[in-house]
Order: sequence, then structure tokens, then C-alpha cells
Amino acid sequence: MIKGMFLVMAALWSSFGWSSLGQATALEEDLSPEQKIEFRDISKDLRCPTCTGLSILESDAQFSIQMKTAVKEQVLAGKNKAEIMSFFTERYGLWILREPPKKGFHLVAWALPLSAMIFGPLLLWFFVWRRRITAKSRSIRSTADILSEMDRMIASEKAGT
Amino acid sequence: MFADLGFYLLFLCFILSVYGSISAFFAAKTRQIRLYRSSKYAATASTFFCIFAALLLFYMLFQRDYSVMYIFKNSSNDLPWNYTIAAFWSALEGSHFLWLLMLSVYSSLALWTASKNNEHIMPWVSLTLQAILSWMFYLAISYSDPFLKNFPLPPDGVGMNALLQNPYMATHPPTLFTGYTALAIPFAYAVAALCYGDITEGWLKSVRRWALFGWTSLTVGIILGGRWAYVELGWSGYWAWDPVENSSFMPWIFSTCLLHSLLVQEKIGHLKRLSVVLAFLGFFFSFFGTFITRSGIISSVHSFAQSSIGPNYLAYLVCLLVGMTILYAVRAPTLLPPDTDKAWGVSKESALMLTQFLLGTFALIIFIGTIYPIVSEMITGARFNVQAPYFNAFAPWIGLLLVAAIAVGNLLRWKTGKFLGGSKILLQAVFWSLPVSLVFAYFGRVFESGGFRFGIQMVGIAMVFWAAFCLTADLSMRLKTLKGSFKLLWQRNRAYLGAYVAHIGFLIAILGFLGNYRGLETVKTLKKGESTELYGFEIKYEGFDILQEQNATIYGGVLSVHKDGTDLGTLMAGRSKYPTKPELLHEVGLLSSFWHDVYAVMPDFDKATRGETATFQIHINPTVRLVWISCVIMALGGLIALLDRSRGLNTKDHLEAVE
Repeated sequence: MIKGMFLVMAALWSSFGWSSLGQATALEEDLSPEQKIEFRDISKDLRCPTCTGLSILESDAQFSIQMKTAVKEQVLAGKNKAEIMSFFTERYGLWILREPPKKGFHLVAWALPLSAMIFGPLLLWFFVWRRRITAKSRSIRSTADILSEMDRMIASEKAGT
Repeated sequence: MFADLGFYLLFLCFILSVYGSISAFFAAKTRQIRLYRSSKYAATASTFFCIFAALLLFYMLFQRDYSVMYIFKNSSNDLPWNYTIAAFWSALEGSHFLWLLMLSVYSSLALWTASKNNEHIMPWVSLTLQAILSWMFYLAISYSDPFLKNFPLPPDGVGMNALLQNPYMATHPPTLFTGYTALAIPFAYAVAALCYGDITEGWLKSVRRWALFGWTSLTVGIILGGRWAYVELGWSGYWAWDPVENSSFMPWIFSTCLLHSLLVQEKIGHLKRLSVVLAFLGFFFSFFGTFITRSGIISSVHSFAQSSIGPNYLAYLVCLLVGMTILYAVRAPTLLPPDTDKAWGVSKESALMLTQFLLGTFALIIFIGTIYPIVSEMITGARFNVQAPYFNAFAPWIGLLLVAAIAVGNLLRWKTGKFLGGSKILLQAVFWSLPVSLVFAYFGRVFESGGFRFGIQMVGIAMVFWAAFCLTADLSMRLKTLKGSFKLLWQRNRAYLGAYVAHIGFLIAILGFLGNYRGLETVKTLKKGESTELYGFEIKYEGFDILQEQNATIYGGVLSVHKDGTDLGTLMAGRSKYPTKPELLHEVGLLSSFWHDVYAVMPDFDKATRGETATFQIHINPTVRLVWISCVIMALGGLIALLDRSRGLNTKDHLEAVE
């Protein structure tokens, strides 16, 4: 059940690439539909080393085209995503990825938002909803309150001097 | 000579602002209204001098006075009049100056239009605003001097950054800066509330007005920036989760939060301290964004050249953060909670609280992603740049939860768990939203995505329509209580009407994102007269053309687009060359209809035969136009709400004080 939910979530995550995809089409022509999907899935998660903020899929830089060609060759050779990604991270380091890997220190980047989303409502529940305002403590200061407070202060000051 | 005058004017402004802040401080401490007036006049005078200095810079820009370094570096003889104006804010010194100018103008405006009810806290407001201004004037005369001299006198300038020579980029910075600077005023009021030790009647009204104004400008500014990226950069997208985009988005989120917490504060008196914190965060993150842009500390497409201004900004931000934390820790207990018998539980205020939580979490995620390169470098030793996939992993969830919160929250009522006809509306809306979503999915070409993605997209689209129906049902319920008189609603509750319009605008934006989540594209090399087919669009390469537009020479292929036998028109995809710059820029060809954009760029063409064959990259982008439309609608909503003059006065504080 939980595993199923994770699968659903993973599929959802990957479905929202709000940016459009660039010119990978020319490279893709001799790939089967499944390979095409794998190719796109992998190249959108590798960063273009020479651009800012783009994946190799979206970029036409020389370097990106070389990387895309490498991805394509390995897809054709039948490697899966994990193998291809580790090929690139061994060569270029983690730097080549576009999102923090889910291991080591980088887990923090994933754990923080997730725990905020889970524990946030709980905290709200404990600190806001559950708390009934019981004490008829200090209320809003009405003008009359402020005036009487000032009177008291003046009186005490006079008494002091 | 004008340059010297400009510099001295800014220097004078600096001295006036320092004087203004000191006199405001003593005015607040000794309760001397004459000292406060003096501080206010200092602010006013510095505003006038600052405007004068800005006019001087404009004048010199038009005179092509290259004896000024800034003008030499950022303009040239070929620049048309409209971009000569925009050259003012096309680089670091000028955009700092523009920011300063706007902050100065809005500060004076805030001081002069302050309500009589706020008289007792105005010295603190003036102190805060002028302290910020002093620091910014100091930068303008030291690290970021727009009037720096250049010698010997060159005959022509280096030229304005060609990417910025675009109508959207000419309007994007002033709009965005209006938003950023307007958020300084809620912050000043927040500091004033803490220093004075109470939130009073006029406070809410002033803060609401300025926050709303800032929010509206930010919304427009951000979307204008997206539009610029879309038509200028040629990668067929408008949002890339770039650090600077993110840091314009964070103040937007916090100002949205602020508006909602002000609403709770007005209705039931709670969340005063949250409002104070949010006012601070909105302001803080607008400066955080500038810090990123100016310092070049995080690589971004927006980075200006490396500049020594960075450490100064950092010091300032740290001071702000530490100062505000101390002030808040010491003074926040003086902001008293109200004495309400029933709050929270299942009610509108709880729904608003959840919305705050969602927005806050979103801001946290964006913040983590933005500063992650620095943090990971400090801890693991290797810099790790977080890019779009990370943000896209969270954004859709938050977006859909927000949509649900909008629908349910608007139907709930204050301080009661009763759901007056609400559950019926929620169910009816499901019924109505289904056929509409199908129609939308048909025209938005969602069916082509197929499989699992299609299902998810449909859920999103149906949810948006469902929320829109719920909102509209709530509106009609309110109209019924006013005997269906729209005029009465307009007279009495423009704030509600504005909120309705703004929420609908937000939903339309989400719809636009959903429809546009993937591009349909192809890359084709075509001979003249050849055509290609893409998702039912027939695109034909008609011929090669060269034209002159202002100072730019544009050349590229003309494509005609047909669909089902009807002629949709032509577009030109090509490259542009500016006289002072060596590089060629993409000139995007765009043919928009309500449902699709046909978007084309020309990566390459046959130079020997002057374009007998050319390579085109063609995208069909569904529902992008909805994003631009949503901008107009959200801004309209903000303006309608701004027109509401009574909001903020009928606060609980006020009512109880009258009793």
C-alpha cells in the first residue's frame, strides 16, 4: 500500500516538468517508444554543464549534445536509469545531477520539506486548534483602559517624587 | 558637470536621510511632534533631490553623455528612445538607483498619506524607512555610484545588454521594484508596532493597503519577467526555478500570507504577531533577492558582473535579521491577544491558518533549494546546484492543496463550524466541474499525453474547475443576501469581490501550468516551400526575410501555419543582431491563439544560399496564454480590493474601543 503510494507520487513528480523540452528529437529518431521515454527521463535529470539552470534535454550546447549522445548509446545498449546515472556521477561527480541525491547529507534537502509538510499540521493542531482561549487575560486595550492606565502611571510618578 | 551635480544630490540625500532617521528616533522617544515633522520634511526633501538626480541621469542618457561610466557601459548611439529610458535600470548601479528612487518616493508618500489614527507610531515608521534609505543612499555614493566619471571621452558607448532590449524587460524591473519597495512600508509599520508596543486602529488599514499594492505589483512584475523569458530566451518556457526567479517569488508568497493573516486579524483579532513576522519576511526576502543578484554568490542567468557590493548587502541583511529578531523577542509580548470566546476549530480562520502553513512550507522549500549551493559547499565541500526537478517535485502538491484550500476555505464561515449549505455546494461543484474539465482537456490537447500522466492532469484540471465553482457559489450566496444586487456588493464589499477575482486569476494560472506541463515539439530542417506536420498543425517554410526593427537587424524564416485547412497566419523565427554586440540572439516566432501557442526558433540556416534550407525548432505550447491572462485577472482583483476604503477600519480592536 505505502509502496504503491510512493510509486504514484514518483510518477506524479516526474509528470510535472513545467518547462518544455528542447531539441532532443533529432537524436531520438531511431529509438523505440519505450527507449524514447527512458532517454528523455534520464536526460532531463542531467544538468547542462555550460548553461544556467537547464537540463541537457533542453539545451543545444555542444557539451549537452555529446552527453545526450552518450545517454542514447547506453539506452540502446539496454542499461537502466540507475546504471546510466551512476556512469555520469562517477565521471563528473554529483555535480552533474539536477536535484540532490537521496543519500548522505543531501537527504536533508528532502527530509526538511517533507517533515515540514507532515509535522506542520500536527504542530498547528497542538499549538493553535487545541488551545482554547481560557484565561480572560489581558484584552485589547480600549481607549478607556489606556486612559485609566495612564492615570495610574501619572499618579504613581507623582507619589514617587 | 551634471554628473557632479547628480553625485552631490545623492550625497545630500544621504545626509538628509541620516538626519531624518535620527530626528525620527528622538521624536519617538521624546514624543515631540515638531521633531517628527522635521524628519518627515527631510524625507520629502531627499525624495525631491533623488527625483532630480534621476532626471539628470535620464537627461544625460538622452544626451549620450559617455563621460559617465554607467552611460558609457550601458548605452550606445544606436539605442532607440524607448530603450534609452530602459537603459537607466539595465545594470547594477542604475537598478540600485531605480530601487532607491522608488523606495524614497513611496516612503514620502506613506508618511504624507498616513492616517490620523497612526500619528502616535509615525515617528517609528519614519525612522525605519529613513534608516533603510540612508543605507541605500550610502551604497549609491560608494559602491554603486551611477554618476562615476569616465575619461577620456569615447565617441560611442559599449551598448545596452541586447537581451534586455525587449518591451517586457523594459517594464519588468520597475513593476517588480514597485512591489519590493511597497513591501518596505508594511515592514516599517511592523517595526513601529513593536516599538510602540501595540497594534492600533489605523495600523491594519495602512498595512493592508500597502501590502495589497505591493502584492499586485509583484504579481504583475513576476509574470512580465516570465513573459520576457518566454519571448526572448528561445527555450520555450517561462519559469526555470532560477535563484533570482525564486527570490522574487518568496516575497510574493510572504505578501500573500500577510494579506491572509491581516484578514484574520481584522475579523477576529488573532494573528497580530504573525502579521508582524510576515511583514518582516516579505521585506527581508525582497532584499535577499537583490543580494543574490548583486553579489553573484549563486550562479544565475540574472547575475550582474561580480561586484564589491556583495559583502555590504550581506552585512545589511545580517543586521536586519539580528535586529529584528531581538526587537521581536523583546517586544512581541506587548502585542496583546484578543479576548475572543471561540476561535479556531473547524472554521474559516483555521482554513486560513492552513493556507498560511502551505504557503510557508512552499517558501521554505524554495528557500532551501535556493541557498542549497552555499550550504552544501560549506558542509560537504562540493557545491551542489539545485535545479528545476527538485522544485517540481513539490510544487504540484502544494499547488493542488492550495486549490483545495481555496475552495473549502471560502465556503467556511468565521468562528463557526457550521457549513451553511457548504457541503451541498462542494458536491454540486464536483458534478458541474466534470463536463467542463472534459471540454477543457479536449481543446487543451490533454488527451494526447495518455496513460498515467493524463489521469493526473485530469484530476488537477477537475480540481481547479471544482474550486472555481465553489468560489462562484459562495459569491452567489452573498449576492442573494443582498437581494441579488451586484451594485450593493460593489458598494459594500469590494474587498470580497477583489478576493474573488484574484482567486479566480490564481486558479486560471494553475490551469495554465497544468495544460502546459509538457511541450510538444519537433526539430526539422526544411527547404523553401517544404512543410512539416506537428500535432495537426501544418507548418510551411515560406521564405527567408531580413528586416530592420529599431536598432536590431532581424533575419529568419517565415513560416505559415495551417490547421484543418484554415490559415492561422504566419510567424517569423530567426536571429537578431544588435550593432554594438557580437552575439546573435534568438528572435522567437510566436503565433498565439487562446488554446495554443505555435512557438518557433531557428537554430541554424544555410548561410551559403541565404536560407534555401533552414532548421526550425517548433513547439506547440498548450494553454500558455492562460498564464498571461491570469496575470491581468489577479492584478484586477488586487486593484478592486484596493478600492475598498472601509476595510481595515471596522476591526475588532476598533469596535471594542468604541464600545
